[in-house]
Amino acid sequence: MPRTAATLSRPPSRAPGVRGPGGRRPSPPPPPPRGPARRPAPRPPDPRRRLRVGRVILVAVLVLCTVKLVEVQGLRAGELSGDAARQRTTKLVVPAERGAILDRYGTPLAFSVEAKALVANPRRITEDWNDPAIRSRPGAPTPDQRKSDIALGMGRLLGLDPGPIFGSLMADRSYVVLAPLVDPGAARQVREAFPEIAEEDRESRQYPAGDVAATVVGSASWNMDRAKIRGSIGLESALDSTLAGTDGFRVVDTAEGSDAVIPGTTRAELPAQAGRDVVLTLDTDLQYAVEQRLRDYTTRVGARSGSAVVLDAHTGQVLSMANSGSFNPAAPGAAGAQLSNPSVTSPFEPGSVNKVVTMAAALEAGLARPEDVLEVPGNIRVADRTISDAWSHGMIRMTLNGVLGRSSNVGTLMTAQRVGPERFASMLEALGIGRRTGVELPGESPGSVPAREDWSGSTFGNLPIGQGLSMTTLQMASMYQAVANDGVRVPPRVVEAEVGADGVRTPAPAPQGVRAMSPDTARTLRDMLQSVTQNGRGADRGTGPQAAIPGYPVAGKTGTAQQVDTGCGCYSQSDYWITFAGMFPAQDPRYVVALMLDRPPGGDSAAPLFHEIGAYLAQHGAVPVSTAPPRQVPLTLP
Amino acid sequence: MSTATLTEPRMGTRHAPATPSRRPTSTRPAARPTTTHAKPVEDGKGTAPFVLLIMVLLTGGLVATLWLSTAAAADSYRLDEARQVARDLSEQSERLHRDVEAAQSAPALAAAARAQGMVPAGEPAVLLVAPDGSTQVIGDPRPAQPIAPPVTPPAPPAAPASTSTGAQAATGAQAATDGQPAPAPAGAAAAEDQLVAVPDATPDVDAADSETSPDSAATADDTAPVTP
Repeated sequence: MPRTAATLSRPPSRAPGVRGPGGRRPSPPPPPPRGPARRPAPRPPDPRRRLRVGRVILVAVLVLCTVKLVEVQGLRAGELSGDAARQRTTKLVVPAERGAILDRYGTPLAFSVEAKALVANPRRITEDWNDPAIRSRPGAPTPDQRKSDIALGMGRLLGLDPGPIFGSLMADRSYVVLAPLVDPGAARQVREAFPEIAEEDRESRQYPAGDVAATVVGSASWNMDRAKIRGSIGLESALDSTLAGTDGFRVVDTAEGSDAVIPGTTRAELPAQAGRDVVLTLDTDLQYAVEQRLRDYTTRVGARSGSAVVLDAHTGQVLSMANSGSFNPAAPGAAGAQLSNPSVTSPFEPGSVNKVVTMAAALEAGLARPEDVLEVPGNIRVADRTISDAWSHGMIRMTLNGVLGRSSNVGTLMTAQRVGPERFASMLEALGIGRRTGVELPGESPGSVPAREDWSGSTFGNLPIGQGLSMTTLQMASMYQAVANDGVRVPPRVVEAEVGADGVRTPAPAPQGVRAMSPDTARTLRDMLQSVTQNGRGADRGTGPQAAIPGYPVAGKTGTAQQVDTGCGCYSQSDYWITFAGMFPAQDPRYVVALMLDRPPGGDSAAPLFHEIGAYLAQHGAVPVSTAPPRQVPLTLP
Repeated sequence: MSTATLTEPRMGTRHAPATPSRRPTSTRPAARPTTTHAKPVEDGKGTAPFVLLIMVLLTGGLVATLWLSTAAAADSYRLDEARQVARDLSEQSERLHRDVEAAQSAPALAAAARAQGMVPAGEPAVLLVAPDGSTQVIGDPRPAQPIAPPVTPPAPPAAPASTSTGAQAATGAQAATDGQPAPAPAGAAAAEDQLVAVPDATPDVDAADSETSPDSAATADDTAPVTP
């Protein structure tokens, strides 16, 4: 500014100085001849012109700026600011923690902990070596050396075998996962030691009880595509939407080319909604005990498999659901793992356990009393088939107690014929056979009952003795639960409540009970079922006295059903389903237990297993003992 | 402020002749006495404290800014440290929570108990006391069955087990202590094998159901508690 001021002020001072040039004029002529030709040119240009030109240039630049300004701020404003935001703004996902699965007493069966996956870019590590600056550094490791350093260091820090890590690092890939689930602290140590390693957020699902209740709870694992933990088996899969919660997000500005969040730039935030905890009706200790006993017994008798269900007699809640096979939820792919839950997915023919349907229908219709005496022949003809008892006998006189207690096929079919197919079919339906129980577990089978209109003459010779129809162990338990609960069948449920992240507990909707029989009928039936565990002499001995528990009257029913031999398409003479369903204490039952064994070679009864589970239940549930002497009624009359 | 500095000299020029004694206080006016000779006179009086004040204010401001920013930086380090500690602690609590849940699960407790030589208690008998003081034993009291030894040394314990219940309890207890180190390395699979092996070594469980053996089992009750 001072300079401009000077140049501005100088011309006026010279302008008046016409004398200046005048003073100089005399001297030019004498100097060299080329002087006069050039002298006029350096004469300072007209400052006013210079000023004008400068002004024009300034104005032009200003105009240009204005044009650009209008373009940037007006015409392309939206587009440019959108680009800028895209470059800068990042939407970060705030992961929602998956809910836990708890047993009825709050013991966790599955819960999540934060974990990290350690990943690397092996190609980048190799390429870094091409950088002369790195290569020329003395003592710089070659890529292979570096990779082996990383593998050994990670192996040491994480306690892993460095072999596979080194293998992954040597692959010519741009993304490898070196360790899928690492404790965050350990992951940080590794990352600080080896800057080439990056970490990614993961969630590790913990199953503290291991394979206990695994077939019910199922398993969840990290899903790469959805960047979220997802249930794949069992309840983890069926209740995935409840457990998963909703991910939140956070819109922030990040420094270009990195994930560093610029502080104070959070524009929008939606907090993650943690998944809801699910409280099951299972009792983990009971579940463990039942699984142990079932597995023991299945192995002892050499059965292919077995399943056991324990229900609360009044609420129909599943206290335990065990299968002889199970799996480790942390590694569901391991060899020998049984992922399915046959207690609800695999129906079987129940055998004599189903005789309770005929008896219930007969009692309900007032057609029979437990003390009624039947003249039972050795066999009975139904349509084109002849059915005989499991033991050969001539004409004998049995009470209805005896027909059930000694499991007489002939006596049952005689009673069934008095009941008639209509009453029988409606009782079967009321007891929930042939229909899904609606339990929350995935893949439930409804079993199968031939439709009433498809019944042939011999069908009604099969169904009353538990052949020609199938049910799951859970359905079998539910059928006896109706008897235990004074005739009202409450469909079994395995989810008791949900607990939100705010701690508010929402009980699961109570299932609608179905009255299958009158309380009187149920009570009478429970008395009759005690005949099965009656340990009388000779012909007064039931089929399952081994199920008896000292101090607790047991009402139950043994069952043996022939399996279908696929070779001949007929019923096999060697392969059986062995079943037992029962309840105790018989007067006011607290527990209902249903058992199924698949093909024990010796055809062993499941009654001893009921005794083992029942004895544990009595102790575990602190059931008061009964002082009444065991019920003894005549089963066979002379 | 600029207007003040502009007006003051003018006043100064006017008063300058009246107070010539003050001139020696400044050396600069002497260099240019004609134009600004009077300026420093009033400058000296009105401006110096003011400039000093400004300087003090500026210095104070600078120091305060420096101090604040240093304090903020130090606090941010402390905050960072505290955050790190909080994170470490929350990770530790999560880890401990996980370990506790794993250690108190039914299978882990069963394995730990087995490792200490404990055995499942079996079925208890109940002693019922009537109001008149008489008692009634319900059930069949029996000592807990020791878990059969691991499959590796099967022959010696199996043979006496079937002949005498007292001897069985003794060998079983011995086997339990012998077997103590075995479950730890063998893991869950071996432990399950052990459980499976129980019925093989204890055939009297089934025999008890045949109604003839309860008496012999009862005698076993008297002898067995002595052995452990």
